[in-house]
Amino acid sequence: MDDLKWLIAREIPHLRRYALALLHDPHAADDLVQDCLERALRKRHLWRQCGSLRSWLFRILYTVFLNTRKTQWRDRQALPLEAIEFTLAASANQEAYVECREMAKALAQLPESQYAAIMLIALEGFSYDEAAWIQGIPIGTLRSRLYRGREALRTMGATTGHHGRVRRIK
Amino acid sequence: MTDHRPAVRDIDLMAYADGLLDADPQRKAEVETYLRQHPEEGARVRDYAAQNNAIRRLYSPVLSEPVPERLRAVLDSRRRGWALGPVACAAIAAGLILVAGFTGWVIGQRGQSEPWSMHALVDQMLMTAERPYLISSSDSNRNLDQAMEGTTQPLDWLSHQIAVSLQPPDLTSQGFTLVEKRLVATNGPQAVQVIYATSSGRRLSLFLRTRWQDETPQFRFAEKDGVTMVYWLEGPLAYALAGQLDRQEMVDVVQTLRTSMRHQPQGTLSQIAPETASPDTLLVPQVTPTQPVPSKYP
Repeated sequence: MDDLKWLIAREIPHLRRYALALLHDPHAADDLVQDCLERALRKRHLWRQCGSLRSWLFRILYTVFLNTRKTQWRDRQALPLEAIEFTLAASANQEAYVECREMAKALAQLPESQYAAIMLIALEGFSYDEAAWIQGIPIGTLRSRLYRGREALRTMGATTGHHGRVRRIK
Repeated sequence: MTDHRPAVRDIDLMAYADGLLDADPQRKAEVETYLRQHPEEGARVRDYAAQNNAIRRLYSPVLSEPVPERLRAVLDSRRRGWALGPVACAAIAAGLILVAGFTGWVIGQRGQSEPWSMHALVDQMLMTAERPYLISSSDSNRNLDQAMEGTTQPLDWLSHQIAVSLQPPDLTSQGFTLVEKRLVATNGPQAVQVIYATSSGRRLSLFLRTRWQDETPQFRFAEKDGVTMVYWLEGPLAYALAGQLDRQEMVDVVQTLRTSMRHQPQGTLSQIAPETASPDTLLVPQVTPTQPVPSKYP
């Protein structure tokens, strides 16, 4: 029981990051994470010990996001720049600043389904199977969304392509 | 990725860029062979990887932000005021890996590799001017205070690190009362030092530090120059305890500590740590080295 809470607590920063990526509003993002945590504790008996707690938490977060957004939150804002502007401002690296701005603009053009899939993979390093389960869609759909979203980003020239090192975030 | 190993497709290039083929060396090798034969596809893979990097740069600063109090409170559901509910206590107890500092340095001298460097911290403090400060209150603390880093809310800082509220354990039943709390750091990650003293001036130091590795928790004792040390791991924290006590006394204190962390009665905590009632906005996730150490806590 206590171990479960500790394990959940460890994921809070990652849940906040994905929530911010979905909503682009820090306050609304924390609301979403709070809903997610409360639901996770209420339904802790549903967490199968054999499964990944991490995937389970993200699935709850994404489900809450889809459900509550309809009634409570506006659609994704056109530009995610506001939420991350403070981050960009803190960056001393001008090149990185420009690149981040370009990426943010390009991401804002994507359909939300593609956007949510890409963020899940790029930010959290989930496998495609896990990501599909988290979003409640078939894996073929997930792959398709990823591919189309990424090709769209390429077309928009969102990356300069000189940072080619493949890296995973665990 | 697939059972029948078809030709390399878009999905494989994407998975390769995402690092998802690391678990499938054979498929990974096939993709790399394909990329050598089709250099034009390499640009695509690099673009995908660059997209991932840019997206991470965009949002990753969120990870280092302190976890908001209201989110911690969800896991701390029975918390009231500054007292901890049973659930929170348990989480804390699990989290407070008592890096009881006693034994660490002897272990280091034995040449064993320690995944957590608590012993190095305590060892260093014992070997330097910290020694009298660590075990006795008869010396002047002024110079030592100036030499140490610190903030007024070290436990809150640690609480933010592990997203669970922490309170200093009550050792009054052992004759030790809380004297001071502060952040200390040597070469490794920062730790919180909680100093207790008896009315006769004997001192006891408890060190707390986060740990993220999954080592098996176990107790380790060490003695050197009359100072006994105990190290252990529990939950998200590493613990060390150091003082001029004999081993049996130390064991008693450790047991009291662990019990205290698990069963802190509501209402007594505010007496132990009134300063933790400061607003969340005052909490700092990082130590400012130039900040003077607070003299004493009530």
